[in-house]
Amino acid sequence: MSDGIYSALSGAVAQQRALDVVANNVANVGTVGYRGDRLAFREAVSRVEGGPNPDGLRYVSISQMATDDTSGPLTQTGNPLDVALQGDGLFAVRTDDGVRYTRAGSFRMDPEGVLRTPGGHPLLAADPSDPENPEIRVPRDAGPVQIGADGTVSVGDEPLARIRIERFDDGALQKEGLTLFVPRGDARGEPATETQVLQGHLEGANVSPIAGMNELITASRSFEAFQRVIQAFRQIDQRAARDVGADR
Amino acid sequence: MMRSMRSAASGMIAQQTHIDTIAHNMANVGTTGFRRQRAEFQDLIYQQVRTPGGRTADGGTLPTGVQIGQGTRTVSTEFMHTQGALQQTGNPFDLAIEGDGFFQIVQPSGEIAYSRAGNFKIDPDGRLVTVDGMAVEPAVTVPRDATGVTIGPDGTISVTQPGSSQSMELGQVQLARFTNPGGLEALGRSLFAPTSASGQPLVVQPGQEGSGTISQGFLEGSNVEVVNEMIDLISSQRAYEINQRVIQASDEMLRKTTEV
Repeated sequence: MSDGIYSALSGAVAQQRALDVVANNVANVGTVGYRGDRLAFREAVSRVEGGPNPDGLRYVSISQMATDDTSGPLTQTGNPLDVALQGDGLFAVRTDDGVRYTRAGSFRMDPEGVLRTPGGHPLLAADPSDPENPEIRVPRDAGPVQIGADGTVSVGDEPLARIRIERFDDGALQKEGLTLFVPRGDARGEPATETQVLQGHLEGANVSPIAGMNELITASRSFEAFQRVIQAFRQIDQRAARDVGADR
Repeated sequence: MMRSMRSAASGMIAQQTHIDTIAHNMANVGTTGFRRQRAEFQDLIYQQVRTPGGRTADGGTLPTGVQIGQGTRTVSTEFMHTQGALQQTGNPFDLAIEGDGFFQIVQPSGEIAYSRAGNFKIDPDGRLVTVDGMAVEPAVTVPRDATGVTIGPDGTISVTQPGSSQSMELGQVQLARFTNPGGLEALGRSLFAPTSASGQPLVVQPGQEGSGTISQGFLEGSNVEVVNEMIDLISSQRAYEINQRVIQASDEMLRKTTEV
């Protein structure tokens, strides 16, 4: 048996994984605040000391999965509770499992006037006046909500609270689904002071359908190539079994 | 392998929902007081293929993990309560709300529903009713012999009667406001019902406490913007196609696998 068949097999499996990632990206092209994923592969070598093949068997494995941190396209919606961030940083929201972060700024008001994500998680305020209740609460019948470039939520001329927006180092956040991110390990965010808050806008998914198509074609063609290689190895093995030692 | 097929299928279902809402919006582009709907999506829970912080073969720690997503789902179809364009009709019983608030309409069941459609009529008894014959709350009866009917920006309804130069005040149109109008439940016929998400109505006089004012002789059109809906339709259709291509590619891979 040739060992190379395993290299080809690992390549085919890797392309399947790549297709899984592309599928998730294109499924979410319409998800507000979605960040695309990308897989990185690496070459791995299993070395057998003193074995017949000193170079070892080379195969491919996933080295890491990176989330694309570039901004998605902004679209104007005119809805006062649609908020987009220009620059890095994420909105802090409260969940049952602790503070989570999101770029999806399509907020709404609940009957008590608390600003929440579509998933129902309340938006948190930076330096809340009452640390027990860090949500942003807008009084009823107070008129239209204004959100300034620094994230200050105000009604009329009266500022109520400032939205807590934090930035993280590259790779410090991990996806949790529902467009939420959770900090890895003990990673801590710092206030994103440079970030501009845009009211009446939404940030779309940063997934390009063209790039998705490109990755899709690459993954399926590479898979096909690996499948050919596997077939070729099979034929070699078959021929070896049939011809070697056969009568001349 | 099946993961990519399911992710793409969830994307196709989401885009279908998106096109459903676009179709509904477009169909109601000429409906008085119509509120457009917006579909919103979220990514699903991620599957941990390799947990960050795990051990590598040589004893090191993995700096990052591998988590693969499983697609998307529709999280809400929210009504967008932005102002629609006002059209002048000259009809004295056509009322438009400029700003926040809803007309209160008594349904046949006796429950009150809320509407932005102000194309009212007078029924044989002289009551102010909707085109479906449901009465406006608080009830107003216009005398049969009344000539000019005036409805002011604050909702005050006054009429002049033959033989009198004085105008007579009949009542006032009141508006209901909600903390979260996006949480209202649509009943059809341009009517909305309150839910626990919208909060209870706050009945106010037009122009007071942040509510809008009444414009007589105007109608508020639908707040659907055809150009925006068309763009959404095109991008949604393309997104649907790309998701379908992913399913094709997955199918192709499966076929190649069986050929090995």
